[in-house]
Amino acid sequence: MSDRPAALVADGLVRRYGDRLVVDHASLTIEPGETVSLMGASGCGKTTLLHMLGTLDRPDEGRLELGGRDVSHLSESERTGLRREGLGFVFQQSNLLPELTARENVALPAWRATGRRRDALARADALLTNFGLAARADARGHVLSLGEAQRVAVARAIINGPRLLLADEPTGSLDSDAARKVLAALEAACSTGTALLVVTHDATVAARCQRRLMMVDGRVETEPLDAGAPGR
Amino acid sequence: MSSPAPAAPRSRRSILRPGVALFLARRGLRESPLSTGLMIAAVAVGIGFEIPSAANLRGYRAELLTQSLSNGFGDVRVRPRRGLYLRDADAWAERLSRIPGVVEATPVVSAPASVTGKGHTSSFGLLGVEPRATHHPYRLVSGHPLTEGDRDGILLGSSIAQRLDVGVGDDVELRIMLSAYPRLVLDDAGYGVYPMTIRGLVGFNAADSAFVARSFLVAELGDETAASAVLLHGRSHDDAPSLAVAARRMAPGFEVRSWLDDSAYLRSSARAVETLGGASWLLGILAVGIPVMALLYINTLNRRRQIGLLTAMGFSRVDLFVTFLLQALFLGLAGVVLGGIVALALVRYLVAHPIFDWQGFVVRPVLALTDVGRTAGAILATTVAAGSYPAWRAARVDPSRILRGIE
Repeated sequence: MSDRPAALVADGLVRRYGDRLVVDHASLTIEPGETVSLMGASGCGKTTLLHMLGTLDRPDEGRLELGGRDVSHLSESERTGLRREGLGFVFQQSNLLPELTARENVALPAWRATGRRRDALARADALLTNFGLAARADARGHVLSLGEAQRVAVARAIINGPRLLLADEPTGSLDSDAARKVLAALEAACSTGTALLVVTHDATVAARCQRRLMMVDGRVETEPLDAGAPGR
Repeated sequence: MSSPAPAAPRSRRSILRPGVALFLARRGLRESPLSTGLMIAAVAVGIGFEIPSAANLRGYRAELLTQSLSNGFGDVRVRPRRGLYLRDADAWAERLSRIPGVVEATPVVSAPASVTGKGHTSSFGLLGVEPRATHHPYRLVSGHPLTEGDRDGILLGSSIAQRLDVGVGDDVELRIMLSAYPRLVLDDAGYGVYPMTIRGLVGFNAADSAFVARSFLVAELGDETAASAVLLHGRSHDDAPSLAVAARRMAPGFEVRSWLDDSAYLRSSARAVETLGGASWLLGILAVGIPVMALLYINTLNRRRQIGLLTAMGFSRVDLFVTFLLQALFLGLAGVVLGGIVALALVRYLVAHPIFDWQGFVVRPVLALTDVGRTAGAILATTVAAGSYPAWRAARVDPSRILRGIE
């Protein structure tokens, strides 16, 4: 392990919706640059956990550290700042703002973070070129294929150089070829030290991660070792 | 694959750059052209209705006051406390005209009279006026004005002319009750009978009156300095109370009344117009605010997914509130500009085609910059205020629920 603090440490996170316990004392740690998959049956609490880890939702109990900083009790604006600078998200679908082009979608978080539009667009162009999407830079979301839109979403998620990338079934709606390209984009994103937690139902996706976790009835468990070697 | 992420930017801004908010607000409106168009139309219709409506009411009030005061009995009336006539009227008029704010003081003399033409007779109040004065208690609708020293010319009210079936140039017989003493009313010696020629017709307020040269009437009354009243015309009708105070100070022996005290009907009419204007203005504001709020709210509901994504990207509640509020501001500005153009075109049309034109009483819209500014400002403010609730709702969206598709 390096001297850098863990990208994420979650300790005993609990989330209830009314009387229903959705996340039950979930604990996990992700090191910088590490890729981790989280699998589990539908409704087991994966997305809820992901949202708590991404500070989109607050746990009822437990402690959360991101990059060595305790973020459990941050104010709303501090959490927003954290998302802007330290986290990236890729959701299953409808990731893009339909009124913007691919280039503008990618550039937006950087423009918001730095206030420099030209720099943000230049960075967006560089990312789109790296992801093979330069020709689609001026296309709006509804014109892009699902696979292209997901790769644009990955580019957008990493434009501010986040510590942690959270992906919620990023290949769930894609054919195998498009899924392969999205996975390649995610892996490339992690090549600069960004950690990745990917929620998936797809064993192929999980197999490409360095570590695999299972979620069962709201609890996080390590997948049995015979499930396969890390894919990276 | 090469390293995909160029070095992350170093400097970070916690405060949203206006450019980012403007960009998102503009693009958000472009995304829903129908609702954007409807919202702009709602604002434009509000402005397009409200400005001509205010201008028409202002024009109506101005015409009412012009007809009743400038072409009527002046802003301040000075009358004798006792008796029918005041003496040395010309001298008093000259003194009263020196009151600051008074543009003219004219003596008028009245007497009961009747006129006979084509076998019909009609009674009315006859007024002797100064032909050379700028202000007269009538507005000529046809024919020619009286001239100084005219002894056989009369201006007849259009209603009387209609009853008698006479017109400009016709001859009539004027009977003036020269004696003011009631006991002489039935005495034929109290009447003067004069053959007159109708020089012109006068309308609206003066439609049931008739006018002759004052020099003629006072000569017949036997006192060439007499007047029933001296009418003061001010620069502004609103100055009447202060002018009345000054006139009272100058002529304490006379009864001095401003039009506001002297004409309850006119005062009430003017106030009614102002009240109607205020009510119409308020309704116009509500008629803009309600649909704009509803459409912006629907727009916000339709864009919850985008709001969730923006939140995930690190846009704060303040960012979202500002962005959605800017949308309302854009809508308001676009609607005000569009509605302003429509309003100005409508006002120009109504100037050429008045909504009311009867016996010389013509209501033409009067466009006042204060009305335009007040209306545009209020509707713009209403649009922004109407947008603040949807903007607040956008800022309060729970991103986790939205992104999971629960809401």
